[in-house]
Amino acid sequence: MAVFIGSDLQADQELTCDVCVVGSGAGGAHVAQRLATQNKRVIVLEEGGFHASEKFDMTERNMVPRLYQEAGGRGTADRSIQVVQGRAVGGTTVINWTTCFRTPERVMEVWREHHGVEGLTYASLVPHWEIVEKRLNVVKMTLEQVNKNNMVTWNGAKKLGWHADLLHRNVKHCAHTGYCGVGCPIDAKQSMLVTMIPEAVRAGADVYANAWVERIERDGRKCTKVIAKLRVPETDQPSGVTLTVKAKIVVLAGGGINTPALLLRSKVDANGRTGMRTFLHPAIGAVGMHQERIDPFVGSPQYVHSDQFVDRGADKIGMLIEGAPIFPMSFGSFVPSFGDEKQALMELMPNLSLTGVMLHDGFDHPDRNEGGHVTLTPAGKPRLDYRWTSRLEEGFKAAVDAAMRIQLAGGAKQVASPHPRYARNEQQIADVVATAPFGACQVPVFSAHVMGGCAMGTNERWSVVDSRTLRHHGFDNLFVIDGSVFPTSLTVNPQLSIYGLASWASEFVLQAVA
Amino acid sequence: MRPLRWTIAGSLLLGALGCGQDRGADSWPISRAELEGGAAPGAAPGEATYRQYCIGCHGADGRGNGGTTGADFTGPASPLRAHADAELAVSVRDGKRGASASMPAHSPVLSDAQIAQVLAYVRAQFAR
Repeated sequence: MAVFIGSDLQADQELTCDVCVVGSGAGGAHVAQRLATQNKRVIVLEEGGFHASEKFDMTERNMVPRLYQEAGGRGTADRSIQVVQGRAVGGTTVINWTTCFRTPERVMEVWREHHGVEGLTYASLVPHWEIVEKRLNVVKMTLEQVNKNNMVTWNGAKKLGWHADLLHRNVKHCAHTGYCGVGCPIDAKQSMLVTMIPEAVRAGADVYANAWVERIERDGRKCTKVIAKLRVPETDQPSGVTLTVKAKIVVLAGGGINTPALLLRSKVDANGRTGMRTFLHPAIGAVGMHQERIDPFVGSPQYVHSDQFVDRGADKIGMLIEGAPIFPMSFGSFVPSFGDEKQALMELMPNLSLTGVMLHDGFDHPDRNEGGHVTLTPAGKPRLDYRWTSRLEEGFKAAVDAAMRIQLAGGAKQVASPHPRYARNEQQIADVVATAPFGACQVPVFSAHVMGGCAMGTNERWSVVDSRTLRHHGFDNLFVIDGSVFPTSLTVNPQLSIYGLASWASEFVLQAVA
Repeated sequence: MRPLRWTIAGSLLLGALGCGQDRGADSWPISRAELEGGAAPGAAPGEATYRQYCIGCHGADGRGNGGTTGADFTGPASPLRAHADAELAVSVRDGKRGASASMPAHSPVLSDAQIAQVLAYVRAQFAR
């Protein structure tokens, strides 16, 4: 019935409960809330710290190290893709940009047809989404609310005759401060930190922050113990205290990368599929330099999207265009320029606008090993190798072309690719796309969506988790309920998919406890 | 604004790589002067702070954000009319929670001097 932090425990402890949930983000928080409100004894173990909104000081400098995995430095092993994931009570929902999409039906059809997914259907998720959308106040933005930065993407797409629509967001009394990515300072974002976690705690759940789960122990098909090593909140260093949880049911909800890594540390990988097919929605974009001030750090991060290139045919990777913000630290560190050029770009920042594009990895059907592969470093930390394919490279070129054209059509005097290369007209954009390098580590790419690694399905040879219940194929009392179970990328921002999935799967956890 | 040394170095590098200049495309970000069609006026003290921390809710025109969040500094119910700067400074520093909207505490990011500057800027700009 409380939230404990690492320093609250001074000696090793062993606890028992009905359900132990590892991770407190979109998946874990929902499961914890559902089970606790059904009078089950729930313990949540969260690697990150417990930070109330009063501690969110609206600076990247302080908040990124506190709220992000690896202090914001997570990435693929070759450093070609920067990966941003949350690490706090509330998980990535604390730092996401609040964009909400239901899982597209066409994606779930691919799962059924090509990945052996049975049981989980679009229709089965609809009632769960309806509940979640009401609880988290998922609302569609209005055109009047759109900030100048997103308005450029909107106007550019419209001028080109491309699709454009407004996004849904999970916010209540949003002041459009723009600080979503460093923790909402006024609790307007309906993250797990201010919704499901408090509900779970009020219903009797205990949440242990700063509790890094080292491994799970098993006896045959039964998971017997969850072993967590506590960390000192102020320093994030190990405190030397071990917390052992014995639970009837264990739910892994650490998300893509962390959940497969935990299974690998626990030496649970019967078919060699754990960590395989990890997808990232690799994202790229272009900035435009505008005569008027855009202040791209003002207003909510995202209001608009374009589905214009979601389907480019089976032989080309699909992509989703979205408005995206520019913040000083991330912009300064992301764009690979130095000295005078860097200074010139940074001085232009108030007049810049950004259009982002994320690629839909995971749909190259003949390739069973597409995407990334999570393994362990000798120290037991996750390592992500991601295959940079020609299909991906073509997608980056098309994405940068589209983003530059949107910015130009949206009124920019000059546009820049992420390299950066500059252009002032359509011909110059074509030249940039044709001549600039798009290989691994030749152009900055980032990912805010980690999916897969513990794919669900019914074929035990090719999947890790049973799609009919989200129970692990190798255990009777272990469930995986987070973004790691998706067999492909989602093609849309993931949080609402995970909320619906977790609400749906909680019923099976409940049945298993009973 | 484009430094000569980079122009020369860039030309040499591109020539050495054999890729040539990309048919009239820029190799440097546009200058602010060209972008804005003239030199930017000097900023008033407090303006940078307002743009960084206040504009998101209170708007570039000081009227609040679409009437839903952020007090309107220009209207009859403006807090600039109802409160002295000393009171307003406390609200900015410690934050304020309302029924439909809230203001975050700015004590982690702004000094008392910066708060005083931004209040002076707000009065000069919007209290008419």
